[in-house]
Amino acid sequence: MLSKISSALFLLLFSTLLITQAQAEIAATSIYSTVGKSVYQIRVINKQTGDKSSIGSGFVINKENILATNYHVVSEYINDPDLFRLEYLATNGEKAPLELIDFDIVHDLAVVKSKKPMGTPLTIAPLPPKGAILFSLGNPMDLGFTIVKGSNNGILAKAEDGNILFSGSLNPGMSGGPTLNKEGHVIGVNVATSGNAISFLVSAEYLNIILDRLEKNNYKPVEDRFAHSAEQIRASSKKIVNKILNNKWSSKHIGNITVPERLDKSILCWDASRKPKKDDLLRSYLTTCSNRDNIYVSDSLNIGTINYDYTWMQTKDLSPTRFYRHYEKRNHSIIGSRANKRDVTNFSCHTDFTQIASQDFKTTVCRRDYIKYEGLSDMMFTTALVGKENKGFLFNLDFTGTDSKTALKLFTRMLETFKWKK
Amino acid sequence: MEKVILETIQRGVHRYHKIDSFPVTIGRAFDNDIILQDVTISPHHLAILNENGAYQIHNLSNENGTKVNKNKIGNEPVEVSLPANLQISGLKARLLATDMKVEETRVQDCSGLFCIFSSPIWATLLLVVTIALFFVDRYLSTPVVKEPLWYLSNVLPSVWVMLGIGILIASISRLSTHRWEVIPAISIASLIFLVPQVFEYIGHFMAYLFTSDGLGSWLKNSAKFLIIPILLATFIVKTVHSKWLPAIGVAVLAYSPFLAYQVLGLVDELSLMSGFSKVPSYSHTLLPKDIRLNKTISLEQFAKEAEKATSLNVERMLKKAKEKEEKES
Repeated sequence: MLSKISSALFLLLFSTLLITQAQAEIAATSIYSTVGKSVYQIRVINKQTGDKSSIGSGFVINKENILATNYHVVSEYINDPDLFRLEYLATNGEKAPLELIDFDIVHDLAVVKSKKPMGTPLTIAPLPPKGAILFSLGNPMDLGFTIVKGSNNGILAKAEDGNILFSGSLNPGMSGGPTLNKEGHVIGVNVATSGNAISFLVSAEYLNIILDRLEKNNYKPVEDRFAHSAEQIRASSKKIVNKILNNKWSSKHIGNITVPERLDKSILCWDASRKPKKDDLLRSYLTTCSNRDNIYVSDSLNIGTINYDYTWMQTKDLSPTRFYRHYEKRNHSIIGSRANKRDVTNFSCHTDFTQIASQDFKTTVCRRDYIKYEGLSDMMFTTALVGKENKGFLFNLDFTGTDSKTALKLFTRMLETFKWKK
Repeated sequence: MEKVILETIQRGVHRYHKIDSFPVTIGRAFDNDIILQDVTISPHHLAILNENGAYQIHNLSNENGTKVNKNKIGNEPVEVSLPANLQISGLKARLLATDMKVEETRVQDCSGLFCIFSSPIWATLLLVVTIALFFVDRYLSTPVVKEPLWYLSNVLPSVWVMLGIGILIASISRLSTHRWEVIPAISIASLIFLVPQVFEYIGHFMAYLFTSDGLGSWLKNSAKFLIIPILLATFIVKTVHSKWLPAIGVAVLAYSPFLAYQVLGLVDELSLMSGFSKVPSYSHTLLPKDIRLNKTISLEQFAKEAEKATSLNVERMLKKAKEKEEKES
């Protein structure tokens, strides 16, 4: 009797699985035929050579002549409109120019306009529950229109940019393509992949914000692209830092000092202390923390990073002179950024001695500004404990692409929470 | 009859020929009064005459000829006044009066610090102090337990280089005075290593004292560029008894390969300062003794001052960069 029941249950389960699979296949086939005509390849063309410099995907949204894609697909054109132009390529081989009208550099979205109707506009729908089947469309590796099936794993809780984790294999070239629910509505835009079916989508709600803005100003193109980018990055950085300032920070002890550890769920901390060796005469401990988000600006520039680290050094056996030789060597902070002289000014630094947690520290603030992105700075802060003969403590904090005042506020707030324990 | 002297300078060697009677013939042939062995000189090259107390040079050579005070003379006797510079073909010579004043004697002077450097005790002490500094420096920068032999093997190459430089300096005195001035050479070689190191320590201390690397780097560069040529020039003046100007010339020449290297480094440093650098430049120095001129200030005051100072500088740089960009476009 029991074996009959279990056989029946197995059959029921198996048939349910088969039905779901069949439904998914039907959905994929119908999406391929109905939505396929609204998805295009977006190309950045070098004006001099006429060859494509980068490709991605895009889809018709809101209006028949409006297409959405990723910022990073068209970034070369945005940063250098004199050298490049935009065009689309349809599945039937048709090509025509496109005009950039708006973008969201923080969430990696761009909206372009065509002179002629491009097909039926897709519609945006809310994100389905976790586990729901999703279909991602695009033109991977320039191989032709493709549909990839995967599942929704929800919005990433630990990241600041609110991307959706998609378990499906996105490939280069699919960036900017739509990801649809099984009803064929857009829930996200393909943006990145980490391989092994771990892919990321930009939530369609951010695309909605741009489309609302465009509707209000009658689809008027953005005038000053750099000012537009700067404003968005600054606002995003301010939002993140202000959120951090309002968070309740966890703390940790490092040597004689208690310091804030994780400032936000988007920040991860790691122990990076060197493993002690037998003949070491000094011990050092290092904790590094960083946010995992950064904003793609161009193929040679990513900004929006927040990094900080704490180093504690102490010795019983080294003389103060010998100890300070090594302590000083560690007091060299740099900022991890690929920005070059076309992007930023030189650093300007200010150093003085400050009182933190009733101890004396040699503290430095360095700032450099972005040349094209007004009001954006890279900030580097460092402070070193002084006056202790056999103990040293270093704290470094750096930001790329931030508002200098907000960053300074976070630095001072962090220092104010330091506590010295004997 | 008044006597004159013919000074010939051949391969750096000065020879003096006293002339009592006139005419006197000069040439490569053995029947001359003065025989000069140089293949460019004719067998009967010239004669020196004395006509009623006036000296005359009579060129007899049809090959390479004779110059008097840099002017080539013909085959007629030419009257000269003493002292006269002659060039007998390729050979330099002077015709001098016996009562001509000679240069003042240079007294071997052991005044000032150099006297200390010539003393074997002080030279040894300097050498020992410098080698000890090599050890101390290596010891300070090693944060692990090491055997004394490890330090020795690390320090030995520097010691060999220092002794090598000492021998090089001593050879300057050997070449010019035929004496080996080893003791002062060792002192100078030690100082060449010791002084820049001491300057660096002072610069380091100053950098912390003033919370600025400016003075320190000035001291470091002055040690690199000035101290070594000054030490070499002092050595030349004191041992070879040369005058200061030529001594400085020789010192700069001898130091020029290293100088070129240092100049290259300085140019790099300057271009980094004036050009773009990804690395922020700030005062990194930390000292075990917290001796400084800047007082400790509150965090609030620091934040205000830092914001003001960096904003001003960055705005200035930004303005410059934008002007440059506009110019380029």
